[in-house]
Amino acid sequence: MVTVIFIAIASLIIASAVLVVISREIVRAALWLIATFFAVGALYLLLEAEFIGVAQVLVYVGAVSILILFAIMLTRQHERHEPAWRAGPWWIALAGVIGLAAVLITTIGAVPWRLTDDDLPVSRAPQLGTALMREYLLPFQLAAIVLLVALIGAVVIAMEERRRRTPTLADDIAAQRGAADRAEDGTP
Amino acid sequence: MMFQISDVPRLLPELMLAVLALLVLGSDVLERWADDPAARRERGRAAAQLTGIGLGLIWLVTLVQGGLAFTIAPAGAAGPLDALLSLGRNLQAGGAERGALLGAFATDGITVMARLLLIGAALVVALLAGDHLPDAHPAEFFTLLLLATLGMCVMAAAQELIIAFVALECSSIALYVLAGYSARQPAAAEAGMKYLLFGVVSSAVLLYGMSLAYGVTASIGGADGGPPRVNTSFAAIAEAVRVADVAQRGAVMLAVTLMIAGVAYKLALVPFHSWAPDVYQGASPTVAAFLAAASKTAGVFLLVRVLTAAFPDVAGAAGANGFTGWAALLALLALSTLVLGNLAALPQDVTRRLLAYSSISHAGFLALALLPLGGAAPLRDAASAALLYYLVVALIGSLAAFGALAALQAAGVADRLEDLAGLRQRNPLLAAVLTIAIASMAGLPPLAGFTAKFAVFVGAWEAGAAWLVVIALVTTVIALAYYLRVLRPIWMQPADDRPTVSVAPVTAVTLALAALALIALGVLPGPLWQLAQAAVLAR
Amino acid sequence: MSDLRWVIWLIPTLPLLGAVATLLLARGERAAGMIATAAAGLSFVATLVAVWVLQTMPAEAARIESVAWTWIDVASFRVSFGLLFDRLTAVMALLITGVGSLIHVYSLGYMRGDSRPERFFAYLNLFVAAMLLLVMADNLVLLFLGWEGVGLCSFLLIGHYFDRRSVPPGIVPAEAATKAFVVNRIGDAAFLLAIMLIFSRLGSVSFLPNATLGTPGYLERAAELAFVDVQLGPLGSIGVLTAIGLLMLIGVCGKSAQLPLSTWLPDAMAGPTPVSALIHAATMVTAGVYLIVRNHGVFSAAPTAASWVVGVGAVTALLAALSAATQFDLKRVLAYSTISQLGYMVAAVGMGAYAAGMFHLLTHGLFKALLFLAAGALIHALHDVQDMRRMGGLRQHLPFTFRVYLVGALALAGIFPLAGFWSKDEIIAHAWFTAQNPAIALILIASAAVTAFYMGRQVALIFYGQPREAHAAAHDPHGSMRWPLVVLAVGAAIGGVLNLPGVHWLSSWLEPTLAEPEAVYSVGKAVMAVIVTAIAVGGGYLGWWLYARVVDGNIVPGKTDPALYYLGDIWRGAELGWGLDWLYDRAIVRPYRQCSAFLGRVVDGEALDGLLVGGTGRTFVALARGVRAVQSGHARRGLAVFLLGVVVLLAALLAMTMR
Repeated sequence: MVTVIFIAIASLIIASAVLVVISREIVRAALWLIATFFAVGALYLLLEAEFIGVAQVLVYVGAVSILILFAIMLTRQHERHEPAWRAGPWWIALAGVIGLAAVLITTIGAVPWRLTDDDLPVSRAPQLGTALMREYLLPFQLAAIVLLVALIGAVVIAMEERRRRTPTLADDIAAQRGAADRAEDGTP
Repeated sequence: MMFQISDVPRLLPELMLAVLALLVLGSDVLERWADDPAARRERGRAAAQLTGIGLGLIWLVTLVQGGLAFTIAPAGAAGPLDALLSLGRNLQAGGAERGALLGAFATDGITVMARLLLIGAALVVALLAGDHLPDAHPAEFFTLLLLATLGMCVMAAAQELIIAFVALECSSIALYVLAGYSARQPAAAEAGMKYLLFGVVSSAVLLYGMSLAYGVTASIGGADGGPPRVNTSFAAIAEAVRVADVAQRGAVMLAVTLMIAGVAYKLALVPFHSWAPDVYQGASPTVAAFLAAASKTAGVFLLVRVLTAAFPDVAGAAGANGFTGWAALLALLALSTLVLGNLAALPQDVTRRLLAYSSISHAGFLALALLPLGGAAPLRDAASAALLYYLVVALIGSLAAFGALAALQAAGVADRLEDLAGLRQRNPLLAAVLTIAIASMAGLPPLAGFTAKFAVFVGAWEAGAAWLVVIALVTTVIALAYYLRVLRPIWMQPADDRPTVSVAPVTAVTLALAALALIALGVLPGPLWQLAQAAVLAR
Repeated sequence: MSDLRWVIWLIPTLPLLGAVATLLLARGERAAGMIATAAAGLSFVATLVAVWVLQTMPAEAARIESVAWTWIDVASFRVSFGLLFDRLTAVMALLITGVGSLIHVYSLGYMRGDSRPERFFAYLNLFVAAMLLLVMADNLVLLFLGWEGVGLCSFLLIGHYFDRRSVPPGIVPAEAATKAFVVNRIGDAAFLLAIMLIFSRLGSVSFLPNATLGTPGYLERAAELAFVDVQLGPLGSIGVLTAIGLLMLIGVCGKSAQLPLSTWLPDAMAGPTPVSALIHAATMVTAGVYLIVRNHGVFSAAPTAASWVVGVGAVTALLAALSAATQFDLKRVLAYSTISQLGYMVAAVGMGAYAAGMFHLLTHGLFKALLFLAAGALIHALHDVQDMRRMGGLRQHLPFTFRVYLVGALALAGIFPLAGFWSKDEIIAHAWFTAQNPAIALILIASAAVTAFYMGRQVALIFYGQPREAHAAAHDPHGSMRWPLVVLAVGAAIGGVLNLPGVHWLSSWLEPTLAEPEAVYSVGKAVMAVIVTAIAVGGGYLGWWLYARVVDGNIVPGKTDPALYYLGDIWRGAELGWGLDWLYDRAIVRPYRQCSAFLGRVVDGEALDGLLVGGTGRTFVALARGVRAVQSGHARRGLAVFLLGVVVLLAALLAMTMR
């Protein structure tokens, strides 16, 4: 039963991911991306990692995807673009992907993975929280710095240092004097 | 890996970097904000100066705390300097305990060397950036520089997967923004974007490798036959790898391969290099210097940590004794990098692009230097010291070369080779610095590059990779051909009517010191070599 | 006289300081020339003092060793920054500083009016320092430092006239400089490999045991390895010493311009003539010979490598001599002649005739420097004319130059009793009697005949026959250009006394260092000498007679040599240096350029577009405000390479684990 569900979820992930890449309309690609995120969340739930599953849906589906959609709607003209993969040598990418998959499947398939998970500690939210505040405190703090970096980066990229909106009195006088000078010279 | 209060002094340089970054960011508010360029420059200067002074202080603290170069006597007579000395003693006492966070964060000699190198590189870049201030957001520029340095320092000390990854991301994200900092210039924006794309892909590859390593660890029993340790620390991985069977070793090697590929982009090893020429050329020259010097060094340190701490049992060999393990992978990467990097450098006409390829080919030497790290103790220690030595020399060399180019660009000199014509008359100092840096890269004795290359060659030769040493030597012949393409216009072309080049005093002094260091380290490599050895042995 | 040992440090330091002082302090031609010349002269004095100190020591311990500091201390790899001044070094140092000083003096006059005299003299001094370091180093790595240093100075000095688009005969100085450096670098790479092999197999790079560092000397341990092999994987195996010797031979071929790496030397004549005299005739190019002599322990224990050395030397001697016979450019004749004479020396030291090789090195240093300087005087007198077809009949205009040139030419041709006769004869005699290798001896005799022929031809073309161009204002050199010529002419005339048969000062001076059995003189050798001299006289007369009397009227500037009519393609081949340049251009340079241009395009993301999709998709799309990001195919293709890289690595991994 679990296997059947897994196969269903996995094929959903793969199919929607492929559709992200080959969609002609970028909005559709974004929507397929949301589907992929959802399916991955479902996979986490199947693995009994509820917290991560919920976080996946909240963060990726709820926040990241919406952000992407907004970005597309605000910046993109409504025109149909030839999808990117057609312009390039997609057969190289295809060959690469197939080769990669072949190597990964043969190697990973040969490993006797341990399947029982009784003593795996970090699957429930309380354990996760404890781990973050105790064992993984340094990476947790470092992640805060990463967020700070990202924030600064966003500010740097998005915000221009604006010109002053309200000119001062001195500016006005200077502008008037300049206009008067031009008028005296007879140039328009 | 619990965090204890005694870990604070062990993480002192990193904490100071974070504090300095916030200081730089916050103090920007106190400056005069106005729209005219003068005010903006003033603001940028202030940020640059604060960063420079702070980094110098942190560098000194790291030097004293590391205790590699000297140790302060435990009890000194009461004298005028005693307060200062006792401060130093306290610092050293705090740094002496090896391994913060119960071993998840190494504070050994290699970490100290890494901190010195990376913070030193950031310091030099901050000094050079004084006359390369960005058009906007100057304080944020230096904040990002500091936070990238912080990420690199942590990266070089990581003994645990999550720390390594988060630190890598910390430095990478800051560098993406820095590479595309002058967003109004299309070339810079392109550089930032390209760097981002490559960084994201290689992060994914690295993460995949890490998760595989974690998975394998979690399914292999402990060395004592007990239950598996579910742990992300390199020590646990190494323990699991030691007892892994053949099929599991396959997965381990897969993980190693993916992790090497993920980090290789930091080093710009072929075929993970295609971002490097564009980014080095497009980004602001000081950022290019930082990328070529610090980012690459940090990547090497991460590889050293991962390969020697987590995967010493699959090191293998790349010589007559067989061709297995990560040594063989590194040998392949070194081979492709040396050959392709050096060959592709020849037709370049843009100085920075040419130096970018030279930087790529240096990554090949770094891979060659990493090869023997899986060997037996005396050989490995010598090779590690040689690697450290090479890193120091390469760092200074790239800072000098890219720094000189930055100074040229600040003076309005375009970046094609022919624009260097007659530089010897237009600015003898820059000509000399550039020549010394390039001659050192080309491995001409008595400059430091020769000694460093020789040490690396000896290490790789002793490790059995003589064939690779032969190829590397042949590529140095090719390398000379394109290095001479840079030197020829400087020394053997008339300046015609090209204007003289003026350099800011800070830049001139910094570059001159770097060039002098290259000469001094070549003629008298002993002290640095002893430092490197001490760093390797102080585990 | 141990208290004067420090004087050996002065020998290389003085010219180095001179170089720095010239570069930093000297303004103007006079100051630069004076500082540099004084430095070189003082270094010569210091050498004399050092030789005197050496003379006071007992013969078996006649060496001064001095370690300044430990240069490299990488695990067991210990290298000192130390000097070794033994009798072999003394000979080289005397030649370098002596001839070097003379050439500095000569340059005072020759470089008058040059636009960059400070640089010229600084580089010249730097060269002397590097060359002295090369011969005084007490280990291979320090020797390599000097080895690269002289290469660098050679590069800088060949390119001295970089602002002239080309110098006769159509060489671009900057390109010639690059060519010299890069070709040399091939030899350097092999030499470095030899050093590494020596270290890994013999455990040291010091020539002699070094008490300060506690390292053994590798030379005395070389014989232990005579029968040890080094495995080359699928290529079989090779004796360790043979491998070392062959790698060193490649280095020697680069530095001493032996076949097949000889092509840089004729082009190096683009440099100022004093440079050609000092670097490309008297000293730097003899570094290879010195290297072999210094490593005689290795070569005498590796007969295979030694026989390769002999073969390379002898073939070079003959082929380069033939090339010299066909040149019309004044300096190119001398350049090929230098290659040929170096071939003699290399062949000699390969056969184990170390003293004879050193003897020829010394005499050649004297008479070739003389010839070059005299050629410089000619070039000066004729205002940069180097084409011998535009000369002729200059005997009356330039009587002094004619006389000194004649001395040099006769010495080079090996005419009794000038210096070249004694040294060349000793090598040929060694080949015939001691080494008992008639083939080599015959090749060398043939080369001697050709040598005499081209010198006769050159003297005839320049000084005899009809004046083919008017040079009314031509005058002999004065002052500082004149008396170095006199000194060198005297040296070239009587240099043979250094090692006269029966007296052999040089052999017995070098005996403690080289441990070479003393040559025995016999009637057979005397007969041989007479025969060889007769051949040389015949060759020389033939050359002179042919070009001064027979075809004199047929020589026209810009036209080919009349002898081409008789010899055809052989002549043409010799004229082009046996097509080596052409061969390298076709076989190495062009494929390499194309390959790197191609790889530059493939590896370089920028042009990957063009290669794969013909330049489409380089569209810039504006994303958010202010940020213009590239959405070109360029980045995607780079990422595709990235992905492929991962796949290839993984495939390599699979291939490794399958085995």
